[in-house]
Amino acid sequence: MGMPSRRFQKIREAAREAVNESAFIKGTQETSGLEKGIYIDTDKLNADADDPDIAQKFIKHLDEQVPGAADAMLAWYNDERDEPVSMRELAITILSKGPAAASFMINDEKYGATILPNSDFDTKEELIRVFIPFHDEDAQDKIISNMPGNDKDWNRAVGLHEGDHQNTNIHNTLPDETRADRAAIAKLTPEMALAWQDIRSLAENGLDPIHATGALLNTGDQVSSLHRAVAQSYRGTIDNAVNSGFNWDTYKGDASSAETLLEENPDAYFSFVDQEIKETKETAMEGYNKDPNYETVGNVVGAQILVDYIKNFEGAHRRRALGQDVPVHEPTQMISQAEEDKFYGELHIKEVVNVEQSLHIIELDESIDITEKSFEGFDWDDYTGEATEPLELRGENPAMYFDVKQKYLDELKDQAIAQHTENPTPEATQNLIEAQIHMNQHIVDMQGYWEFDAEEPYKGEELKPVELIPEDDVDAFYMERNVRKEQPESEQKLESKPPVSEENHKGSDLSAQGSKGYEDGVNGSAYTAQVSGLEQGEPTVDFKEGTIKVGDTTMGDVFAQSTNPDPNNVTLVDARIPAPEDPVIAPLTFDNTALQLS
Amino acid sequence: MQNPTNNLLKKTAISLALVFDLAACTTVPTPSENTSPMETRKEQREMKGFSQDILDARKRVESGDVLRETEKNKEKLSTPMMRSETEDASKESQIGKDDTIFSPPTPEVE
Repeated sequence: MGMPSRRFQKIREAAREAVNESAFIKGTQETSGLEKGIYIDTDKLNADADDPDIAQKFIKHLDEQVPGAADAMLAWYNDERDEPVSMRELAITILSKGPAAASFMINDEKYGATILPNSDFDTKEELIRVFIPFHDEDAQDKIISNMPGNDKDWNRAVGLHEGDHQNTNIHNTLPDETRADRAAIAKLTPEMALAWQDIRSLAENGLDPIHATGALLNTGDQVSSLHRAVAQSYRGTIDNAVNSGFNWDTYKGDASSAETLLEENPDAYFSFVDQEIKETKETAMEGYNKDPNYETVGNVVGAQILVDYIKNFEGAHRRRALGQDVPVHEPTQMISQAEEDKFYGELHIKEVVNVEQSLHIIELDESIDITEKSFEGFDWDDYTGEATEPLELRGENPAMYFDVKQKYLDELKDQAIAQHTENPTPEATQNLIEAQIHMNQHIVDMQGYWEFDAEEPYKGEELKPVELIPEDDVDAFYMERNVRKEQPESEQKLESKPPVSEENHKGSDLSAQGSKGYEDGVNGSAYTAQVSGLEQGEPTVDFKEGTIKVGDTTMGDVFAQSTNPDPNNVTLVDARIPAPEDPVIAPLTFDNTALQLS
Repeated sequence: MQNPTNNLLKKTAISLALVFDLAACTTVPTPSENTSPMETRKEQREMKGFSQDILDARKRVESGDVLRETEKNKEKLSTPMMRSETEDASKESQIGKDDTIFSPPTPEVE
């Protein structure tokens, strides 16, 4: 029998692609739950980034499926984008994205938008290679040979993952990717679910922490920023430990680095890492047992996360790179789930406060030039030196420059204190904080001058930071600012549980039913649990205690409750009905406050 | 001269750096700064196991750096793996990994 004809080969290739594409599409439909969809086949676009007609081809491709789809997609893509893109730029972006997914509205109807895998990424082998691009080809080959499933299975798995993304609007975050992976593995066979978990553990988590879900797929843990931070660094952490802590002097092999030791003698590599893990856990628990506080609980929680990432990586490496039959790592739980969740709540507050404060300072810097304001009344004609503007004066007569600013800031401070004492409204609190920021920026400026620019040593009064309002109150203010601004998003950050249905449970042992404290949501319905405390009203700042509360509950406990609600105190709310928007405090510009100096 | 370094002033200084785009608060503090990898590891070993690494990761979160990165990376189109993120990611990653020991290969951008 001769070689198949070229025509037959083309038909067979087209059939193969169609089967894979179909598996991918069915996968997306299983998890998205959307009835209407647009499918972008970049192969059929028949264009590259240099094609002058790419925008027209893109519009035609979409509008043939649903009239107006291209314009709707561009409008959705540009919504809230600082620099809107053109149709051509969107088309080029799409070309490089597949497989990918999203959802948007066309004529008030929600459509799933699915970018199909192009023909270069639609087989098991091609897809697995994309997950682990920095492994050498031999290592990739070994991993592929130890992975279950065929082309169709892997296309379906990717489709299941992508389909879940059509249920959310925020992508490329670790919580969102975890949610999509949990939804996907709940539908996969146990073998494919473990394969998916393993490919996540083997991928370059340091380069791509957004998809570092390997330690999160057999637990129901919420996904915190600490997971992302650990995911980003743990591979480097263990390699550094092996490089500098392993007893190379007595080692008999040829390996001389962590990388080569893992290849040459993985048992020695992981045995050393196990010893480090043991010390890490012992140290963390020692501190916790002495005094269980935020710091020591944080060390334990961090250890749990790190151990889970490392052990899942080890398991994946042994199973796929070495072909060993090893059990799946059970999630590490060293303290109670309640303590763990409370810590996540407190950690989240700290990071939010820091981000909010930075944003506030940036806004402030953009809205007012405090130097210019300070010198508005300065009589340059009376000044006997050569300087004609503030910065020149700073170089020529720094004492005078700093003195003028100091006087202005003192007035600003006095007015802010008076306003806040008379009536401590949120606006007055904001003004007080802003006065404090300006004064401390001034001190930083002076410190910088005297440390780096001044020829003479500083002889004035001690430069101390100004505290017009207790730090706890400042933190509470920023937390409230964030809660008011970001309520829906902050809920989403903490929402990490996969959609759980009976069908999901049938799919795989690896669905989110780990041994850690995980509670199922409200099965399959459009209803979601609302926790007491969160539903009872707007957050309020207690300036006496320096805390932010919802009702009688502190924000730390509210976050903890939101992950493990009290089953006796949960109300069902219809998730399809958006919550009324919280009133937002209008950002105060300098000119509309009582701090305006004449 | 006194050099006040309490938390309040630190926050202001860090935020100032952000304002002036000095990137101080997006620079990941690694224990290897100004020390050799071996010295760093010795220092870490005094902390026992990976304790220092865990602490470093938590400090990065508390400072808001991780949340800022998360916000920066948000996208409207999801992808199942790193592909198009590779270029950006390669600039900020390999945290905790000593450059002298491991140099990531140049990523291929689709």
